[in-house]
Amino acid sequence: MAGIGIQLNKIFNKNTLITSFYGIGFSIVYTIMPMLVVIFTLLAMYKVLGFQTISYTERQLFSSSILYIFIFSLLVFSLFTTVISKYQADKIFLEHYEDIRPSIYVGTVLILTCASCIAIPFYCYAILIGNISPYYVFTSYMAFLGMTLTFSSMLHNLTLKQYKQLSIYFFIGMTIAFLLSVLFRFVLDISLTYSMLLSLSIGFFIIAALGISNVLRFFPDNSHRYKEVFAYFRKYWRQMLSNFFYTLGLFIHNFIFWTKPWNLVVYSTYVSNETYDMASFLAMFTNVTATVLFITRLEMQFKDKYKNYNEAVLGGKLKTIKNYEGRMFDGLASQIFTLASLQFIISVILFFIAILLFPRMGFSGLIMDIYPLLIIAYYISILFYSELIFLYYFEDSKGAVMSGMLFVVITFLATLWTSNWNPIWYGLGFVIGALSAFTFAFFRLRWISNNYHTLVFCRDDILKNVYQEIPSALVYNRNQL
Amino acid sequence: MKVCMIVEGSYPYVVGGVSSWVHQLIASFPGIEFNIIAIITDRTLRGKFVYEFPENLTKIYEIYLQDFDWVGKNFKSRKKLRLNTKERDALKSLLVGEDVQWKEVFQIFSKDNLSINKFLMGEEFLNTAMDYYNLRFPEIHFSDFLWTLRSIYLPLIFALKFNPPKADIYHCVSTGYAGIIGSKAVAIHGGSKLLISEHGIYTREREQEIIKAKWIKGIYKNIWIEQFKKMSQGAYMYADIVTALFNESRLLQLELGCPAEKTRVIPNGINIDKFKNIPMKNEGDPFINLGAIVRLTPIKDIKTMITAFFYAHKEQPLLKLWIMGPDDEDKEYANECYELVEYLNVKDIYFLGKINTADYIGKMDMLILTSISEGQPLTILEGFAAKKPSIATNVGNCYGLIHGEEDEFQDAGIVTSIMNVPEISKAILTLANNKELREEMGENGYKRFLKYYNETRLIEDYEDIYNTLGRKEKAVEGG
Repeated sequence: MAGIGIQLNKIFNKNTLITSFYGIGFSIVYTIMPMLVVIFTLLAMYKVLGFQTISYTERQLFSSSILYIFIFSLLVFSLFTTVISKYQADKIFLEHYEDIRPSIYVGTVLILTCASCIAIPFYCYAILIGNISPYYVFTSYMAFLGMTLTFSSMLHNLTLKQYKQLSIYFFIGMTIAFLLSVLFRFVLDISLTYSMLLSLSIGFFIIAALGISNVLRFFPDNSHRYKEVFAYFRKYWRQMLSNFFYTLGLFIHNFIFWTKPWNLVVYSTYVSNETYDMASFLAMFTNVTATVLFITRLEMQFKDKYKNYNEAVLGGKLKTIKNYEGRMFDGLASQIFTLASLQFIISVILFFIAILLFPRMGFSGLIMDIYPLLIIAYYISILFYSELIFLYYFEDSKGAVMSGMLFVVITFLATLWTSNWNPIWYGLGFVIGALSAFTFAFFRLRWISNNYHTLVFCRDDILKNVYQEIPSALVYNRNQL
Repeated sequence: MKVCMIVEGSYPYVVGGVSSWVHQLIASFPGIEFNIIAIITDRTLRGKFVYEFPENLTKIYEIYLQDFDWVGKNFKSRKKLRLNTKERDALKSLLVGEDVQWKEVFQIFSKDNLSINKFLMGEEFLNTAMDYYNLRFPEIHFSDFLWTLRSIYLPLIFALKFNPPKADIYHCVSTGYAGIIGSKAVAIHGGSKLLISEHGIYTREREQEIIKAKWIKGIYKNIWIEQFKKMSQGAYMYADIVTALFNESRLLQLELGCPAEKTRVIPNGINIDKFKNIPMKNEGDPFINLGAIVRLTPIKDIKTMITAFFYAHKEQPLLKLWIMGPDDEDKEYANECYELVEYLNVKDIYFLGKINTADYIGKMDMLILTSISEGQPLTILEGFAAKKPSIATNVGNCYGLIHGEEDEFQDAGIVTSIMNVPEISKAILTLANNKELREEMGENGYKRFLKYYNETRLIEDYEDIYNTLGRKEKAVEGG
């Protein structure tokens, strides 16, 4: 994200209305373009292939398959992304480029293994209990792996700041997917949902293949030091978990509503809640543009202050260190405040646009009742995410994992409680969870800011610890000879 | 009576002047039980003794200045270290160095399972270091300062963490870490006494090393030197008696803050019986034997010796140089010496390794010592006992030994400047070409030795000290 940040800073520093709009557009194009391409491809398929013409059950099977593929691939990916990202960033900093390939291979194997461990039992159930046809289930499994690999390739390309390339690969992959779906449906006369699923599956694999080969092109050498990658997972397990908890927290409220009596069960396998899931998706989409825009700016501006502080620590007087420390934390506080206030404005504006437009687009009734609180919840969770980024910067992995856990647990419990209330309060559980996590992370950052010099100068140990009593100092005793 | 000797980096691991002195002292008092607290670098030297111990040496304890942090299984050691106000003040006094509250400092480090990591990498030490920094060094790099402080205090903490066994008298063979352990011992064992016998002045020697050291830059040299001064002052404060080998040394002790009433001069002593009936040089042997009884280490400056001999040998081909001492203490330096001999293509230089002094000293015509730092070298005294003159550099007490300290005897050799090859060469040739002068100087040295440097006098002096300190202790016990 830092590469976008540099360019965004250049654009926004010109401080004119036109450059501001240009910056917003630049950010949208470069960061959420892949997501937009996928959405447009799906919409194009729906329209061209005549998605509305098939039975309700088939439509729901396809929608549920895609929903599960998206959510669970994101969850699996979230477990590994921070550690692999850190490993690669550290190796690039040290210029050990030959260690990048092992990380790509290990990361890919781990992600696919973990994904398969979750997917295979589920898809076996789908075949045996759900009686879904095996070829459909197998293709769903492939699409799931493809989506997971796509996320993986996105991570590696983002590390290399290949934003434009990524967008191009998505465009290529989804174009091929669309064309294939048309071919499968109209030429080979395959069923509509299977055409879409199969073509999307192939499209994801194409994107993943292009992405990974692009990254491998930059790193031709291979040190074969695979154990080091595993060692990083052992060392940074807290960061693994904190990112996973955050992602889980974003969806756990949905899982609660999937268990409600008014849920949707497809082929006794896929469980979802159309109304609540759609409201969540709309709320997430409303907030995401602001997220990308401001988090990249925030990170870039903070990074300079962080870098200055680190340079002062290495070679500066105590007075200088304290000055830069103060500036760093003042900058952090002001950036969080800026993010909160600007995003609030954007979210409010988009909310009002949404409540005007969405009913005309067919989203009405219960969805629009649930939607407002979910916007608030996603707004707070994005602020919480920015705090998580700062906790990672200050290497407070303990704080990060605790806040992530709090996010999941409180959201789960609070949603259980509020899910029985009036629909306008359905999203309150998520709000409470996000607010709790945000508050905890906020006070954690405050504690860090008050104790940062201790954290920096009293980190690690000067000697190796031995958890035993010291051996006797007596090495010669004439009485015992 | 039990005497606990505290020795740093010598006995019983290394053969040398100080080690020999300690060994001699223990053997001279068979009726006193001795323990040794040996301060060494790390556990790789554990138990690697090079002496056979007399029966009255009953126990040896080791302290390592580089070790692990043995925190024990107790969970307490994993918690943050918190000091109370008194302890915090003591820590500050230790770092800042004004009126160090040693008693409270000793109490901090007497706690069970005190973790060195928790201490040095903890908030208390950091805050105290910041106070010290702001008071004295606000313009230097803070990180470098903090880490320098940690590396200074790390070996001291290893020493402070050691709980000395109970003894009647603690006899330190230097100040520094030994002096601090001795001080802690008398602080915690009421009624015990502290005796410090300095061979070289520890603080001055460390100061010289630090000034020359390339790995310490600028103001950090001052911080290191101040630290050693603090430790010496602490030891002098707790000591009951402080001895020096010669008066100049004693004056340095006074300069470093040792109260004058505690100080005494007790020179080294040699057992004259060791040098009776020793093998002598063959009559008619035309060669002129120049002996150097030294370890092959940089401080003995063997390279200057070899170079000076090279030039002298050109003028007097009958000269032979016998370098007698172990070469395993600094293998790299020893190899450099061998390479120098090869490079200069010097004939008649012989490296004999570790020897029994009495077997060879009689065969020498004169002795040479080109050290860049010395106390009161035993090799010169042994030479006097064998009636051999010495050529020595003007370090430590060499001048006093050779020219006398306002005594009635004449010169017992020639003193030269440090690292002055022409001067040393000239001195070698002066003695090499004048047998009568050699014999006269040897006789002067022998007389001086008999009067001031024989072992009997040394034993009597220390017997007197041990009895005095032991009586004071008994007087305290008796009320």
